[in-house]
Amino acid sequence: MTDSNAKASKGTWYNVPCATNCGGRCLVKVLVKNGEYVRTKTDDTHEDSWEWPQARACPMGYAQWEKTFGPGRLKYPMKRKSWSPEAPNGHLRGMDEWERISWDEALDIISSELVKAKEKYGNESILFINIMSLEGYLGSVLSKFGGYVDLSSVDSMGTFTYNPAMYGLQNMNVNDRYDNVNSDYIVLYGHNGAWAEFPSAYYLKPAHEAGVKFVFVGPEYNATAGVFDAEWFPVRQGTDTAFLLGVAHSMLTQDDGGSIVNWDFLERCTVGFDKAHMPDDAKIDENFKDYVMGVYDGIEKTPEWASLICGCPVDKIEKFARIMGAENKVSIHTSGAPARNTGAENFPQLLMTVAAMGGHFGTPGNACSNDQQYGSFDRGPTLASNGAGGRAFTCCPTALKNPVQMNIPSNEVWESVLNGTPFHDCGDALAGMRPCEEKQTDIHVIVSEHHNRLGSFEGTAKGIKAFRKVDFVCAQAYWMKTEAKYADVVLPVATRWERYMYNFYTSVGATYRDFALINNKVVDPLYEAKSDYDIAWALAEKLGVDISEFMADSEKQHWFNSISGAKVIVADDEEVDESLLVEGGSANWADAMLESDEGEVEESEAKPPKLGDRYRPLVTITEEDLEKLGVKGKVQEGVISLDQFLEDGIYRYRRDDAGYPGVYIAYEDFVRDPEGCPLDTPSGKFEIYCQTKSDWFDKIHNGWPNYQPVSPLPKYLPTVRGYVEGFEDWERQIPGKHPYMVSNSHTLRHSHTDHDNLSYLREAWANPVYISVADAAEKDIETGDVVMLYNDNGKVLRRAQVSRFVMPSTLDLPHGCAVEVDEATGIDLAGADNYLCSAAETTANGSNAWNSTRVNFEKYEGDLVLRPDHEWEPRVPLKG
Amino acid sequence: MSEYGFLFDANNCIGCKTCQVACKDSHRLPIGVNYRKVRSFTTGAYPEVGMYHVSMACNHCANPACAKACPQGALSKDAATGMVVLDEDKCAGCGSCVAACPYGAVVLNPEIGKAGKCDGCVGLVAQGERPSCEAACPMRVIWFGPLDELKAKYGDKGYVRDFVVLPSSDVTDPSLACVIKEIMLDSDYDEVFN
Repeated sequence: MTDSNAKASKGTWYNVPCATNCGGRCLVKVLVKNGEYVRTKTDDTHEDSWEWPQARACPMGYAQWEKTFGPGRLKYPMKRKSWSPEAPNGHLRGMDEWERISWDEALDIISSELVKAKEKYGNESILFINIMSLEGYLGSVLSKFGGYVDLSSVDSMGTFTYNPAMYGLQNMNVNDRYDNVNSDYIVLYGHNGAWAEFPSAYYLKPAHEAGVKFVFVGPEYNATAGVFDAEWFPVRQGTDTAFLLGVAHSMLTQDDGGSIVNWDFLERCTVGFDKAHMPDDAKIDENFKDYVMGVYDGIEKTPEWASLICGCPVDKIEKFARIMGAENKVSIHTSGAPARNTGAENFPQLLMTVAAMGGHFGTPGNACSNDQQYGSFDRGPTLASNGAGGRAFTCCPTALKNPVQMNIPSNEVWESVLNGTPFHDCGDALAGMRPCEEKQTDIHVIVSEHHNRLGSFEGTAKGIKAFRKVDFVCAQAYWMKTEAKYADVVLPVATRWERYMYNFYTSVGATYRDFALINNKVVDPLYEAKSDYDIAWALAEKLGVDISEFMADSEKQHWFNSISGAKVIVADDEEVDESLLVEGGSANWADAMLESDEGEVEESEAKPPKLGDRYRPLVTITEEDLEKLGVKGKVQEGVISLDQFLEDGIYRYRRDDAGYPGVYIAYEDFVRDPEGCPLDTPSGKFEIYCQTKSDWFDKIHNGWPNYQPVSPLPKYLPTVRGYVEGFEDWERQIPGKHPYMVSNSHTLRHSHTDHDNLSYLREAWANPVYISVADAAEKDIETGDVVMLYNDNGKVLRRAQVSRFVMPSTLDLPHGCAVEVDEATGIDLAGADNYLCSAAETTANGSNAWNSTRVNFEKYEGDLVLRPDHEWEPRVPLKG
Repeated sequence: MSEYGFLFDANNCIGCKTCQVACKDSHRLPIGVNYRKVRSFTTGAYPEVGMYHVSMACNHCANPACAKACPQGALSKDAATGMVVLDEDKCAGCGSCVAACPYGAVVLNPEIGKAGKCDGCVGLVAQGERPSCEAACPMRVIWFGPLDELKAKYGDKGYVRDFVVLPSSDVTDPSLACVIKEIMLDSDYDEVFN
């Protein structure tokens, strides 16, 4: 009898929870024998149940082994052969050969290039690839070295990053998973929790079984919509405000004395809906109802008006209006996708408005928020969480001390690097924005640590040109990710399996609300790999700077801090000695990330949901534990032993069939008693007219190219490169050169641009371009044909998958492939989404407009051969 | 005899392919070789569409076509569990079983020149683990074991083993119980290669 798994079942198990920015969080365990990988399993630390589910991994978890042990692993420091300080030969970046060099040589080159740039051009010539000031360890080094040019982008949450709590909509604030069965309808707005917030679809399974109806809004139907038999309301990318205004109009016209519109809710809980309910601070005499009816601009926002723009049939808009009606209980969960396009400034407020019209806040079965990432479909007080480990990845302490206060917005950065074009600095979209200021700089050195924004920012094609223009590029990587491919010196980093590592994504609440995770070190760093932490210290030494202010503690100490700081909720009925309680329980990731002892963090994230009042340490720590691990800390009493936590790798809070310790309903207190428990807005209510919003946009973004004043009302904003603007003549409906809108769905092959080198995933996910049946027929394209997508930014090849679930006039090119450019033609064979996405033209600072990409496409008749992705050779830069 | 088989709730499958990759990993299979495969399908016409996924491995049939086709007698029914068992020592790698299996669940592994298929993860089960697909499934929709017991445990869900994308169960009498969506009976469908 074959017994292949048994053969594989001796050795030692280690906990290695995934720690990438995938949107989910799970436990992965790996079996290793004599330093060699054997196999993977997931959470089996206890019996699985709804009340106490195992934190089961996705395919990415089962493919992680190849990151550390696979053929594409970078082994040694390398230099690009044609690069020298005197003759960088930057045009050869991405196609040159590589040679192995010593660590000493590599660090010498990097430090001398940094010193040279600083002396000749100043620290404003050093660009440190960065995201929301999660600057990692090199940020500390570069800050102490005199600073670096930083970036700014709104990233995943799109315009939800612009603090929608200022008008009352709190990010990630919906109901408990135990409440999902109480809805009549669950609205998945551009949401694919089954794949993109893994595995939150599990939280919806009881609702599905109980007969709750699901609806899906978006340009491409998806796996979450499919599994729950959702009705599809197709809406083109970037046209959601038109759709929702059509819905609002239809709710008003179909309403019969409160049958659709919840007038009582509007009266009690909102301001700005109509003339009689304007907030005291209003500077303009305009209300939402009159705007919808066309009183101010002569355009009545009818379903017919909306349909032409958004593509959703009129009868569907009218049906959606009825679904949103006051007599239904509706829970609305949007992803960030509808907020990641030009002109999306008003999407969050408008979604809130439509939800408020139906009264869908604050009671069982009713909810509305941006419910993307980590823990969607199950919000509420944190039940268990890790502590913050170390400052380097907590957020922005060194960025705030960066002497060069210069943030280039993501959509202007490559143009600035390439041509020195002035950019518009509004600070950091997450860490703190400041009024727009035009600046200019001359970048000579690019430093890449743990990010890969050449692949994940808009405008990869222009970014490659920018990379090729500068004097020097260095990157740290464990595989030839895009930024390493286009670098001059590449340092091999240790993976998370090779060190005790505190990790942002497993440690400050970028997890689910009911568990804490911890990793083990599996093996010593392979080959010559070093940790980011050690590299930072080594480079600091070369540069002669002291980074102990930021990094006095060891990496293992950071790791330990996330254990000792882990907390678990104390339920109301639990009797616990007061002396055991610890402060707060907030592990809302955005909130924790912004924890900072200085600097203005003015426009911060929404406040997390109101948390439980009492928490206690999760892990018991003894003198012996501290001694054994060789770390600093204090003895404490928790609910599990350190040994148990390290062995299990997870602590998950066990609930019961009634939802102990309490079923959370977002906005419950406010909706019950709006006067007694007001929202944190000037009026204390949901502000459908929000003067604060309009004033804030004006203060920060005025001066931004294409900026148009953002009204206090959630109006439709003409965009600068959306669907409507793509027409040669909109009035006569004459299409332009690139009429197809593109989505970039998140499959389980990538966590953004991570994992693209993992063969198991390349085999499982072919990454085709999805084309609607109608558009494929028009262009005579069949499934399996190679097609070329093109626009003024670039050209990419992919195999076609003709799909019933793609809306005509749109395409879906999944997100995250590592660009692979054929240098002779400039065509990308990988289907890298950002190779097509424009790096320019948004209507607000840093508002990454990924979903405002337009292309044309055709059957590819050229000479390039497109083999299936899993047949590609792995990127192995050093031969032999 | 208690017939082992798979209970699969297609009504709640999200097509994430975790089972496929977990199976592959636990058996350390090379690229191109999979004992379990997830296939995705769509039905309907824009904008009234449906989507479903089918996760399938060896169904440990009562009347296995693979065993009948094997000239070496390498495939047989295990007396205790009813599982279809492959004796690698006897297998000559001729591929007759691969061609015979109507579910496409037996594959040739070019690395060893032999056939391979789901073995119920007997090695894992012997050590107290669950089969890799079942243990991995994030939606809790695949279960392996004595089929009657599984059905009793999962509840009365109207189990079927015939729907449009599968061969008729008359051919091999598979040890399979599926919960399906109505659209899985719709003969107008497309397979989607994600």
